[in-house]
Amino acid sequence: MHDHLWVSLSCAGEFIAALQIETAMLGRGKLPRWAAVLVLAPLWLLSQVLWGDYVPHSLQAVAFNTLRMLAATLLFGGSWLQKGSAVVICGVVLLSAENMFGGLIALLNGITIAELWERPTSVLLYGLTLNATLYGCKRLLRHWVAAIDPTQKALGMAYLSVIALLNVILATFSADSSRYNYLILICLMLVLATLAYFVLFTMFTVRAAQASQAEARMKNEQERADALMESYRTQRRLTHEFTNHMGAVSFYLERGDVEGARSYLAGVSKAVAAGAAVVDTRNPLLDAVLSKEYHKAGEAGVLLNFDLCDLSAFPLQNTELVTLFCNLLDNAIRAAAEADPPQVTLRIKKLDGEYLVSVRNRVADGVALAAGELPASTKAEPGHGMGLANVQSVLERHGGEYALSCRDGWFCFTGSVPERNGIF
Amino acid sequence: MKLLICDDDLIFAERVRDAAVPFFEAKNVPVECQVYGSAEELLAVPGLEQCQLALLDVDLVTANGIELGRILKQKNPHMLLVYVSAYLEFAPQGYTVSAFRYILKGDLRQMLPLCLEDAYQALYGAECALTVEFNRESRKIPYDDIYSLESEGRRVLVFGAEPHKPLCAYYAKLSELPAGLFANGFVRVGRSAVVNMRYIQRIANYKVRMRSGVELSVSRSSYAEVRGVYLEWKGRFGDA
Repeated sequence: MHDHLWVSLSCAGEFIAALQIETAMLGRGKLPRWAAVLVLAPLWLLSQVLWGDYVPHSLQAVAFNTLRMLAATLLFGGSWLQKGSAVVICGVVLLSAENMFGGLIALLNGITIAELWERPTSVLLYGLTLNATLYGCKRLLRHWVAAIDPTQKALGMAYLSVIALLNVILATFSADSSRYNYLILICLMLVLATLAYFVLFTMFTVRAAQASQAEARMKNEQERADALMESYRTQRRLTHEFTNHMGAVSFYLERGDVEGARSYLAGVSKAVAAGAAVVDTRNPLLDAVLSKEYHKAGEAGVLLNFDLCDLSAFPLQNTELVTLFCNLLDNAIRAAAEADPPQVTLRIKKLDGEYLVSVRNRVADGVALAAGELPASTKAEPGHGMGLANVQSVLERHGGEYALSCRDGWFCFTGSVPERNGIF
Repeated sequence: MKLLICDDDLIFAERVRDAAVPFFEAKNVPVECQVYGSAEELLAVPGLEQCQLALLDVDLVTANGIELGRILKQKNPHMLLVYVSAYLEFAPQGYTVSAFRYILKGDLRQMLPLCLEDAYQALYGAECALTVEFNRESRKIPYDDIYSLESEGRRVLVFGAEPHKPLCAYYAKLSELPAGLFANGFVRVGRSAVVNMRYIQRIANYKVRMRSGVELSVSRSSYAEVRGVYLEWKGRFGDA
């Protein structure tokens, strides 16, 4: 009975540790986490009392505890694959921790592991150390674990399963002997090395992904800045030319050659046509952006229609304005180019104290939209898929909202931006 | 349908007519098309206010096509103006007269059919009246006259601008309302009400406030969807 009690006590520490891992990996299920723990605790205790009389590390012990951990996952969230993964992780962590703790303390005290587990203080200390370490690791790793890609996760799970099996075998053979302590330590070093590898690998992966996205964003911004700079240079050149044209017209008029001046002006008028803005919203930057997009649409064989109002007081800052319209129109033109007929319509109207932006484009195939979610990107390159997220962020910053729909061969984005009020 | 074409390049104007007239006739719309080579010639014609669609050149020899469009709009504000020009530089001015489309002559073959289709939809898109059996006779109520439809028992009450005073009531269910109604700016806001988005003042706190002052409840489950549909409608048609 005494032995049974200490096995149960040891299991209680591991039970709490297993719950820590499962809550971290699976999240909440139908019940809140605290309620799930309250339901599981008596069930765990009951099963321990009824069927807990087993030889530690035996096949029966491993199967019994695996089933209990699997049953516990039912009260948490996650898919069946995630539940299975959580059970494997629990097994690896608990066995490794038990082996490491047992092997190390037994080695330092010159006793066997079996003798060590007969001491109540060892069991208590083990439970406390295990849970404290897990809690610390959980807080340290929570930001990185989400960024591990699925292939890496699958490989990691396979590797951890092998380590779990190795730990079971080692623990079984070493329970009554002191000769295996060094082997256990080697095994534990392997586990630590593996964990360190995963941590470092994840950190580098996350940083590489962040760097890649930042680079893509920088490239986009650079392209836009270049376009604006080019527009500025063109403007300067045109101003220079305008001065020359004025000189030429003055020359004709001074000579009294009105017909010559008229003819000259007609020629100039047609020559500058290609560089002219295609819209006049009284917002020069928006005119430049929309004209650029119009020409881009023309190159892609897309008919871009505008229905605009006076946008001189449009409340977005310059960078936000470029982000909003370049992203929306780039996406729309790209999608419409594959549709038949290729059409995009941009409508901006001021109504009831807000500006309404509607971008509609034809699509070749319907786009499945989930409520409250942005559609998935169809491009694999880094930076793609961020467009609508950036648009959403701009609108939210200004207290606006947006809606997406796709029906009858049209994809439609509608956003609202409240009019700017106040002294600014 | 009365169609006007004005271009100083008469050969080009004939090309436009040869594309436009068969397009509408194929859709069973009889077309009365007149081609003019100058703005003066066009403006001298009586009955311009009857015209529904005008395809105009911007760069006319003796007049400005934009000014011509402005005069035509004054005669008939519902007239659709389509500018056909060789120059993109005039496009911004087109928006000052609410041009329906601006087409480059170089893109005519590709763009004109799309433009005509849009014009057809705008002019003849759908029937814009609700047919109801009321007092043993069939009656058509224009969509624009309807603010909301509310179910009361086995009847549907049709409300207009005057609050709490239905235009009529007839035996039907809201679920049996024609699809055309919803394609023309109506949205269901709950189990017992359908509203015309044209007359919504605002949607907030699970309520729709109509311009007539009437407030209707929006079901919690469809609140986000109703707001999204209304936002999309405002984006497409608001202030039209």
